[in-house]
Amino acid sequence: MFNKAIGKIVRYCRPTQVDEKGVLVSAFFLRKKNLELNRPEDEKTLSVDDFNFYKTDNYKNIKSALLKRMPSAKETGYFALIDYPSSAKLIKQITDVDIDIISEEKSSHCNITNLFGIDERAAVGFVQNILEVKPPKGI
Amino acid sequence: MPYDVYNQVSAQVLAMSYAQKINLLALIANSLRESKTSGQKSSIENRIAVLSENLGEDQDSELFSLSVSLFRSVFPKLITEEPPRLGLDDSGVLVAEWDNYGDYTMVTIRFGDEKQISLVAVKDGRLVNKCVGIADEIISVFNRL
Repeated sequence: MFNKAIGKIVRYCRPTQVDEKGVLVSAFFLRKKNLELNRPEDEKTLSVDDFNFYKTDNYKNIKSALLKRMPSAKETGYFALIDYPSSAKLIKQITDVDIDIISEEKSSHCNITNLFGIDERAAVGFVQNILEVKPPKGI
Repeated sequence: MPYDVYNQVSAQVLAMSYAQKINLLALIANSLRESKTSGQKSSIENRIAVLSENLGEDQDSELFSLSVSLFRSVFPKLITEEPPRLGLDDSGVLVAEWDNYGDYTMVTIRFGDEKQISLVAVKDGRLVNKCVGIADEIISVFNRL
């Protein structure tokens, strides 16, 4: 169960969402629907992993879990480690919305909810609370 | 600059009328601005090339191209000397981002489609501006930030 008071989340960022200065806000935008690419609906939640789900080798285990559910994830992408409570607080300040997080029982995968319609503003709250950026390569 | 050339140029400038000196200053300012703009342009085009090379198979290449051409038409009209950081969202849409832009913590523009360009400006942890519109509206809002 994700601890909302002190928990940390990991978001996989594509190579196009990181530059020499760090992670860009676009890494936290929800994906829009695209019928040609077989996505009939706008994304409603932001997919992340609970950093503390695994007791050891957090990044290594998260990388394995990510590759299982998203085989297209690239080694040239990055993992952004984010402080959840600080992000939630800043997002509330910016958007006046309380985000929430739903964790899966048997995996590190979590979904951040209540972002639909406010994701472009909320993205600032996540990007400002990044604790660490790590390339999956070599983990 | 060699000393004799310096003396020659100094003498020519001293001999100029006030209006000629003003014109010369304007010429120098323009040439500096153009060289800065062209440097900015090439770093932006290099970044767009990197984004294009790294576009994921699950991202929409048509949307990406549309978004880039929209950015290319809007960016020259934004009054700023700071080049944006450029990235793509998961759909493949170009997002321009300025960190610590003047008094603002962050300003972002998402180049969705020509009727759906969106701008977000955050200052001191508060949302200051959020608008969605056509290019002219977004340009007008950005230039007033």
